Amino acid sequence: MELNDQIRINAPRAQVFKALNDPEILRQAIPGCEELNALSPTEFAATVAAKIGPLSAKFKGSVALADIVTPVSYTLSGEGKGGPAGFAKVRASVALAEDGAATLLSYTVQADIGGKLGQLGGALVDRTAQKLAGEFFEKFNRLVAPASEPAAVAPSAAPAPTTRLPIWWIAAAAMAAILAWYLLHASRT
Amino acid sequence: MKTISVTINGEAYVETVPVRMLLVDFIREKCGLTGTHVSCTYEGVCGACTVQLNGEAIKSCMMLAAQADGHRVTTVEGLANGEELTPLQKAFKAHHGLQCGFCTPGILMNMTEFLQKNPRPTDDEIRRGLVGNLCRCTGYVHIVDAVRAAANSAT
Amino acid sequence: MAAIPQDSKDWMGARLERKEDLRLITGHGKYVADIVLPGMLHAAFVRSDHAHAKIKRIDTTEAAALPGVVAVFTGDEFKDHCKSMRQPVLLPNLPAKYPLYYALAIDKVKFHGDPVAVIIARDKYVAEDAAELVVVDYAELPVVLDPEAALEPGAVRVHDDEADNEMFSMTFTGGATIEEQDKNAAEVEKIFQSADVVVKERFRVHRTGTTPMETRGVLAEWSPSDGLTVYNTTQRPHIDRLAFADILDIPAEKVRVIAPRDMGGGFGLKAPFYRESIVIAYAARKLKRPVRWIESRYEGLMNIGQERGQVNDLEVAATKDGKLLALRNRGVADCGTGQIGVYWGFVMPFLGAVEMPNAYTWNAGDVRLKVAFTNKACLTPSRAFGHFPTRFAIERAVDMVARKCSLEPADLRRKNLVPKLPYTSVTGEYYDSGDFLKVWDSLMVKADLPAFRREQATARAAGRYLGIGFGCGVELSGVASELMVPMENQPGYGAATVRLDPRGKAFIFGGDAPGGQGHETTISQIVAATFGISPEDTVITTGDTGTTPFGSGTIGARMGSYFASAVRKACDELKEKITHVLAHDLGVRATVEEFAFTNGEVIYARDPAKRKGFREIVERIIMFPVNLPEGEVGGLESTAFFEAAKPMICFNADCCVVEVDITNGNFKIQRWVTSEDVGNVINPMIVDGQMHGAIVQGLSNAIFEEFIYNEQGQQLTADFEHYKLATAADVPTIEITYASTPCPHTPLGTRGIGEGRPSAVSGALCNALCDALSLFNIEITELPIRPNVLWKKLQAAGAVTK
Repeated sequence: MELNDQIRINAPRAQVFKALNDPEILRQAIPGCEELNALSPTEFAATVAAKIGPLSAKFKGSVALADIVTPVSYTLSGEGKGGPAGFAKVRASVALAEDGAATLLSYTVQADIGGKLGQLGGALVDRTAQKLAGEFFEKFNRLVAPASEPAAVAPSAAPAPTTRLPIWWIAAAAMAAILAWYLLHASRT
Repeated sequence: MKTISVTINGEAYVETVPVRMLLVDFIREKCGLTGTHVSCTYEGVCGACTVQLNGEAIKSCMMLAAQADGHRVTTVEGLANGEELTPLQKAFKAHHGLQCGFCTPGILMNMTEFLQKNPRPTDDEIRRGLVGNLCRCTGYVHIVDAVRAAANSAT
Repeated sequence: MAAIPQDSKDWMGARLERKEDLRLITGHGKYVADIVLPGMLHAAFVRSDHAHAKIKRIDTTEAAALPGVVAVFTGDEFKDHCKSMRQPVLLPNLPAKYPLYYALAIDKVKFHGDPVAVIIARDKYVAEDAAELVVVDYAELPVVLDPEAALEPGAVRVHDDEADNEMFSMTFTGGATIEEQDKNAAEVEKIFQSADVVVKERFRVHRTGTTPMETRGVLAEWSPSDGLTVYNTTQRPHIDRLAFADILDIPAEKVRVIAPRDMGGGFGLKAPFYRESIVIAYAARKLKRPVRWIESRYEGLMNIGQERGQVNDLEVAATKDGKLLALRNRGVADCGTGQIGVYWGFVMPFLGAVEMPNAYTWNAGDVRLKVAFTNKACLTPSRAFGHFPTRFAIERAVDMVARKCSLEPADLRRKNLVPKLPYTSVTGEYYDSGDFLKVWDSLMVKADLPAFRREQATARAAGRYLGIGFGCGVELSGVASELMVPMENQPGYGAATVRLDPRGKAFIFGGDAPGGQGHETTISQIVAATFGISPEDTVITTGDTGTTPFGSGTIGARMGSYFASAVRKACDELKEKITHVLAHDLGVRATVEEFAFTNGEVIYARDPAKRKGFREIVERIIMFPVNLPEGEVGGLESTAFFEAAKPMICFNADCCVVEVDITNGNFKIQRWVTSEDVGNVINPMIVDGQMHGAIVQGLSNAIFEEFIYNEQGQQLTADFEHYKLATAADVPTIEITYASTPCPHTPLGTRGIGEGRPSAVSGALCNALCDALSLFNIEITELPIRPNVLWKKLQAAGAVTK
């Protein structure tokens, strides 16, 4: 599965970059994110719960960061296990370009999906992943772009971590999308 | 759990079932009517689970038993009138419209309604009407013969 | 040639409505999923998500704690308490690697779907819930998926305890020793060097196979006094019984296997002996409660039903007049893990290589096969056992030769069909009897090639593309012991018990389990014809090892060839006794030939006044056995065994007419005509039905069905949405002609039919498509064949598109 897109964020690049590293913003923007923990400066684990109707399940993922060029680009690789639903391995790259006062964010995500999730059909998974990525960015944009949201979430009261967090939300969004789709169309074996 | 009341082949079944129980499993396991079969993973593709709900052919793997609460279901066991087979059943017998028989109940339930709505179908229409029923044994040729014969016998 | 005995003409050849139908059309069939035993538990398997991985840890605590779960077993249970699946009764007699395996995966999983644990619970849904709670920790390993890559040195090894991935390798021509084979290869090379016409192509067929509408099911019951009883969807209950006894270490007399009376199709898929059978039987014995597993379609598509995946590098040499001289083939088959009992995945490609020469005469051949392990599901037998890919290759190659010789492919085929049988092919396959030319000519009458060519020309002028294609196939009619013993370590004879009762009714018992082929009806017709009674007066019992004589199983078209013959033999023995006693009672000296069994009576032909009701004479012999002829004792039951001295065959030829839309590659089969030699026909409706079903299976395999694995070995086609079966709207009707030659080696002149029938279909279809598109020089060398494939070829050929 491959996703790529270009999003316009209504904020300067440095601010976007900072927001992408802000655990609070990420936790709010990612649909169903419950937990985010740093295992090391470049490795992080997270739990994303997808809730569709009365069903909910936890998707446990971990991600590693690489090729950091501040404030321009990252790559990341990660994997998530969805229990009986299957698993996903993700590689993503993100690039930020200045666009006047705004930022053009380009991303490419490649995912190898296995288990039942992988058998649902690529087209369905792609569409759902795109939908949820869209939801993420809509939320992220509202959190980051200052003018439209006077009540935008301020950076967390806790001291900002000095270590950089990877942009693993793309992976998590993809995995959440996949899991959500699976749950929506869960079939008995 | 939910207590439901479903009339199957004219008989009222009142049972307490898990809400997630599928209608086909209710028919087969709770009510002991095993003429309706499961052939795909409850995908609604193979048609072996076809029954009639209030006279309309539906795939019983695509429905919860609880959704049939208060409704009428007809299964293949309820087609014949005692010993008297329907013209369609007789035609299947006369034209070798079945081999292993696993897909047959679903086809009978589907085609019974089909012929009610299309009393004089062409072969093409019969074949299109059968796309919701998969068969591995017959290659469909004798099935089409049987449906055609049943249609002709009614006119 | 055996004289056809006098029979009541009413039953042999009658289009009798089937005995099976009444129960099946009223919903009273009894399939394995319909059998319920008190206290029955339900099983659900946990299967690997990875194509190749080490099992680090299996955590079953949460699963076991779910209310309603009675037990959870993993591979260790079977390693410690159960023998392996690699027992002599399940091993062929062929030289191959037979990697050790147990009922559940141990230490490693080797394909996507490999079973690692099983849940036994009181409720089916709870069992599935619990299966989802089992946590397996895997360490992924690299996968090997392409069979040719698997054979390269240094390839990832599928089985640690085997030196490499070459499961099986054989040369099928030239002789038994390397020297003889090399000499033969050199002679074949000489022929190729000097031949006018040489065709050389790589033919590739995808993984596809058979999917009966009923999935597998096992219901096992353990009783301390009687031992193990298993209701199993099996075509071979007698073989299964031995396997249960050997693997579970149960004395053989304490194992009974019952193939349920109604089985929703087999097609070879229900012939192997499967791990799941052992898991369920083991659980029943350990828990001392009945356990039932009904396979989900998802599991089935993941684990079984896959066959045919093969590459054939085929060369054919011919004269410019279209006389076929030699064939040279290097086949590589993809066997998956190879770990399914009896066939181990490679016996199918083995037979496919044997059958490569088909119905043509060849001066020489050099046919070789390699079979490779890969991280995929093991192959299982599928109707047209092994020769679907080789027949595709040969039939396409023959058309290519015809093209090069500027001959009609139909004419070239006729020129090269074996003119007189018996005949032994270059691979040593024996064709016992039949008249190929008669079958072919009968097809050509129906096909009317000259008329078609005129129609085709007119259509082309109007911008429409019609095509005609031909194919033919020699198929096994049963499998003689001569072939079965080396191939499968099992006998080929047919066996039947016929028991008459004092009311003049006939009870027939056979060990082979049918799956919809109408054995009950066909056998009833034979018995009714033989004794002059009604099919209504007969009862046929099959598939219960407790009551039936030993049978190798319903495989390889053994019914019409072996079982039917054994039934006839048993009936003949009873006729001898009946007439011996009746002659004695009537005071005449007469042999059995001098009595007619007809219309419920036994009549002395020389003096028809001397006659007795069938029921009366039978009752007299069973109930009142006094004043019998010297040496006779009362009772009327006979068990007979039938073996053919040499393997037997049947033969068929196909003609396909298609129309192709060159703007998008869509094609429609306008006509499918076939000509068959099935020997004497007992029930034409049943035989027709067998042909229809087989041809449509072949079309479905060739066009729609495909098992797809991605680069990580993930199987992506585990439901009917993705693994598409042909529907009624996708396939044509079928016209059948019979041009039969009675088989001289069976008492009824019958042949076994229907098993290998799908094999010529893909070739005939693709030949028709290539003929339709001959203007653009399109050749098809790969399956599946679909509109998008044709469209791409048309684009590449620069065909006009709108």
